[in-house]
Formats: sequence, structure tokens, C-alpha cells
Amino acid sequence: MEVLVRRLMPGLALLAASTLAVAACGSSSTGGSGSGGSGPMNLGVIYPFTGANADQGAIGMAGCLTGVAAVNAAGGVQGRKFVCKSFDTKGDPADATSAANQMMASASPVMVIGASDDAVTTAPIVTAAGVPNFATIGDPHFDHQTNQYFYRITPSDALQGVALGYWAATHFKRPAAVFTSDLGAQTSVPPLRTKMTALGHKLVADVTLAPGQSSYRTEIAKIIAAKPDALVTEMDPQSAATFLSEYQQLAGHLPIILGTQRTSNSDWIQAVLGAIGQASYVKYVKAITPYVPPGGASHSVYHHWLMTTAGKVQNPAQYDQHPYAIADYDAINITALAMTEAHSTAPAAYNKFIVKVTAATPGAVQVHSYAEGLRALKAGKHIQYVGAGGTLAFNRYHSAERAFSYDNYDPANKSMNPVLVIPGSALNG
Amino acid sequence: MNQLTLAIGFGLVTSAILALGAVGFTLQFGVSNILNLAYGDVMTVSAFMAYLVNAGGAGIWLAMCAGAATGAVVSVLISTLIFTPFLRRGTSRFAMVMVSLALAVILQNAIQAVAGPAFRSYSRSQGTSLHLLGMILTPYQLVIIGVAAASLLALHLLLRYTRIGKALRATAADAELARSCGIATERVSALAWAISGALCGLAGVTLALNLASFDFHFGNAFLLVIVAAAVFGSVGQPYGAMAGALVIGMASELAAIWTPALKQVVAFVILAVILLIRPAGLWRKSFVQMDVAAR
Repeated sequence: MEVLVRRLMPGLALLAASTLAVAACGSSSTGGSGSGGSGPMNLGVIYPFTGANADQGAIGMAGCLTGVAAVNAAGGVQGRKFVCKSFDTKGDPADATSAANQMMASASPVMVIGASDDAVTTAPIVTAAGVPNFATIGDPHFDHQTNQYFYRITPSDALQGVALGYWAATHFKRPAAVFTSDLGAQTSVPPLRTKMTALGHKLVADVTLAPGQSSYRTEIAKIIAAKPDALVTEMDPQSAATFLSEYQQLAGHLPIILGTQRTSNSDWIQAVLGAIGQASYVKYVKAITPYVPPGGASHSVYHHWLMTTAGKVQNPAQYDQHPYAIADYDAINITALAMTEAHSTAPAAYNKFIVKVTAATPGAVQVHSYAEGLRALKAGKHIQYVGAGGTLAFNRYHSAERAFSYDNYDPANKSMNPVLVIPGSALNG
Repeated sequence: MNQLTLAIGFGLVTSAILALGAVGFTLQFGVSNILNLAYGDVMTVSAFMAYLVNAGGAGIWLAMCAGAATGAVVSVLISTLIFTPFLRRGTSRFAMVMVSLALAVILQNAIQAVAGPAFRSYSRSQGTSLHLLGMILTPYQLVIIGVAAASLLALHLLLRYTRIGKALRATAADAELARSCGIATERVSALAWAISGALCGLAGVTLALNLASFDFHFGNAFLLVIVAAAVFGSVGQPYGAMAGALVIGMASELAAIWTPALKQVVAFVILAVILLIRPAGLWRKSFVQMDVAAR
């Protein structure tokens, strides 16, 4: 054994030295490539790319590649192109921390998009390096965050819960709430209940399920006994497939299923479609999601560049109305415009321009793409970027305030599409 | 609908699936002393093979047979090509657990790489629900219960009334002694892995049928409950595993009447209480101490 160790020592020493050298070369003092660089600029895309939540990574990368295509086609920023670099959190906090550290050390990103639920662990690492981080995390803990480098580009789950409660109270006589017990689903529940009560309605059943069970028949039998005409719900795809399939089997039909943004993800659609069939899916499954305007100048640009990603993104059409992919796309355009207005690609310099290029200041020209914004900035104008996701107004906590919509399933695109916009007054009242 | 009667009916289905998995798991442990944490992923592989056969036009029952066969083959390969070489090198029990954990991670990632993260569903018609003694069950659920009962009965007959069964038990008790008595222990061990693998495959397919949609990690997610049922009934004891599956399956469904979010917690609390009272599990007698009628 001793002989073996002695023989291996030189190799081990060489390996250790190489590792240290790579880490030293990969790290940067301020994060990002800085204004002095000349090569491409890395954008960190940190999401689960493997594991149960791998769908999030596909969505994030679709948004990034689309945004990068649009910016690079207009010449990049100060002649430098963007490149998307992916880092896998595996949907686990420990792996997320490791992935974030690796990203900052090896890629020196000038901006980061992601993570979703893992942003709790990754955002402190990214922002501590002085790099702007755009995240799609709905956790209400971020509703009053004060880190100047953190931007939440999708609405809070608290607001989602209010929107669910509003729709359930005004459109159904006997809604029931069925949510799994995981944190991601539960954050919408208290505001849902509060809004229902505020509107003078109540839930005929209010059930919390353990996720990932092999059967929910006992729970379903109880819910059926309450005779609901709608189920307000958020579950992971596996639990949803099992639950809805068993419900349909036991009751003979489904009530209206009113889901959240989770219902719009392709893994959820796939799992539940297979379980209950397309006819039932089209008839019963609806969702309340952050509103994405279905057309308009901004969306046309997004759609055009999204379709150019066909070689790298599987079935890009599925992301045409996807709020999270669109949010990540808008984040990249905003970053590019902020860099242009700041005349610098250094994160410390352009960060304060992020809110500026999206704010509706007097005299600001509305622009719908990076190319359009670039022309306006070169002409000396102030701009307000209105993205494919609509107006992105960051409040003082850097949280985007967005409208919500009621969505139906479109079998042609295999996606949920907005049918009606929920007025903001309904959510604030 | 009487909630209690309904829950008992649903509990029977859950217990049937759990029994298939737990008995297979405990058989593997009984013969090899290996806590095989890749068991859940073998269930997944079997379910995907059944899906391929089903998607190719075959009925669900043929697909189920394909799943069982896949489970048997994969389990024998794992035992022969991975576990046995490590055991021959004198690898400790703890290290073998790590080996099986590593295998589980490799298998799961391999399944994802080949099949992708997409969900799959078997192609079959639901059938009309049947009302029996206050319970509501579909034809598929009745067949799942029937398949589990038939498989476990066949296993009981094999272990109790055949020479092969006797050889299995002798090998599990003392492989050296069994070898010196002329029993081809390596072949017997391979047979045990094949039988347990077939049960594993059946468990995977019936679970996937029950879930309606499944993906690359569904089997692994179910492993904890399977191990709990096996431990409940004394690891290595097939009859104990059957009893453990029945108790845990029923307890989960009955608990769901009052605390749906904690249904699995209730089952594990019962497990903990039983282990406090009987640390060796419910079935004190070991697998090898059964009486067998000589042929």
C-alpha cells in the first residue's frame, strides 16, 4: 500500500497543481468580463438541466439563445457578442451552490439568468461578485429584497395566489383548493385563501397532498364528496398526472382544473396529457399565468429570433407564449441596452441603468427590441424597453409587476395561451 | 361513499404493488446481504422496456411480461458483473451500499440520457369502475391485485415445496456449507436474483400503470417505501415483506382520510413503533428457518 501511495504521489501532486492553476485562471476579481475585454461576453444560465426539474433548464436556455441571437444580430454590445453558458443546479441546493461557484470562477459572466427555486442559494453568490442576476423565482421572501444586483423578472407567487383567488371567486360557485405540500406550491395558498375570503367566498374543500405518491384515491374520494365545480391547484407533473387520472376515473369526469404557471411547462403538459387524454385536457385544464401579449411588435421580434434557435432548442414553438422563456429573453435585451447606455460592459457600471432602460420616464421612446433601442440610444434619445412580455416595471425591490391572464390549452402549439387578461384593479382590491 | 371502505379498497391496490417490490427487494438481501439501492432504478428500466413493447403495438399484459423479464435479466447482470466481483475482493458491507448507490446514480442518468426527461404513459383503456363491497376498483386495479397475489403465491410454493426453494434457503443460510453439500450456489444465487428481478420488474410496471404517467426517476422515488416495507417485516423474510407491504399500504391510505399531507409520515411512524417493540422486524423468524416439506 505504501509503495502504491509513493508511486501515485507525483501524479497526485501534478493533478493538484493543475487544478489550482485552472481555478486561478478562471477566477476574476470583479465578475464579468469588464469593459477592458475584447472577446465574447459570457451570460450565465443557471437552472436545473438534469433531474426532475430539467424542464426549467430547457426553458431558460431557450430564452437565452433567443435573446443572444437578437443582440448578436445587431452587432452585439460595443462590438462584443454574447454567449450563453449553462450551469446545472440539478434542482438541489447543495449542487446549486457548487454550480454557482463554478460558474463565477470559470465563466466570469457579465450577467446571470436563473435560478428558479434554487435562486435562494445561487443569487447571493452571483450578486456578491457584483454581477446582475435576473431570476424567475416566485418565492414571496423576495418580495422585499434589497440587493441592488438582484432582479426578479416574474411576479411573486403571492400575486399569483391573489389572481387565482380572484378568478376562482368570480367564476366558480364551488371551488376546491388542492396543492401539494412542497414550498413551491404552498407559497400561492395563503394569498388565495385571503382573496377568496375578501371577496366573500369560500372553498368547499382545501386539501394539501403529499407529493409523489403512488395513489391519491382516498383523498380524491373526499374531494368528490364536496362536489366542487373547479379545482384550484399546483402540483408537480408526476403528482398531477396520478391525481387527475384517478379523479377522472373515480368521478367519471373532471371539474375545471385551474392551475398556475406550473401548468404551462411542457413537462406538466406532457405528463397530464398522457394521463387524462387530449380531449379532457383541452376541455378542463386552464391556468392563471403571468400575462404575455400574444402579438405586437415586441412579440414579433421574439418569435422571429426564437424560430432561429431550431437547431439548438427542441420544438422552439412551445416557448412562443411561455412567460419564463420570454422573461429570460427580455432580461438579455435589457442587459444589452443598459450596457449600451452606460457605455460600459462592466457590471458595476451598467447595473444602475437596468431600471432606467425599462422605466416609463417622461420623454422616453418606447422600443421593442435591442436593435431598435440601439438606434434610439445612438440618436441620443432616452428609451423605455417594452419587451415580449410587455412592460417590465421594476418596483423599488427590483421585482417586476406584471399582469396575469386566464389561459387555455392550444393543441397546435402544445402550450397554454392567454384568453383573457385579469385587470390589475382586481388584484389590488 | 363510505370513506373507510373506499380507503381499504385503495389500500389493497397500493399494498399489492408495494408487496411485489418489497418481496423482490428482501429476496435479494436474503441471498446476498446487499442493500441494493439501485433496485428502484431497475424498476424504472423495466417500466420503460414495457413501454417500448406497448408502444410497439403489444397489449399491456405482454408489456408487463416484458417488464418482468427485463427486471430479471438486468438484476442477474448487476449481480454477476458488478456486485459479485466486489464481494470477491472482500469489499465491506458499507462499501457495497456505496457501490449500489453509485450504480443507482449511473442507471438513473443513463435512463435520462437514453429516454430523455419526457413523461410516458401506457396505452390502454381504463375500463369501467366496479363497485365491490363498498369499494370502487377498476379492472386494471383488480388485475394488479391478482398479479401480485399470484406471483407471491407462486414464490411461496417455490420456496416451500421445491428442491430449488430448499437450495435457495440453504444458500442464504450458509453459502459455504451449501456448496460443500453439493449445491451449485452460484447458479442458485443467480436464480434468486432472477426471481427477485422479475418481481422488481413487475413492481415497476404495475406502479407505472398506477401512476398514469412516469419518467426516468419514478422508481427511485418509490424505493424508500419499499425498503420500509421490507424492514417492517424483517429484512430477508419474504412473508414479512408481504405483511409489511399490507400494513404500510393500508396505513397510508387510511391516514389520507384525515391527514393527506402526512399519509406517508403516518406509515413511517408505525414502522418506527414496530421496530421499537420488535427491533428485528415483525417476522422474527429468518427466511432460512422455514420448514419445508421434502420432495
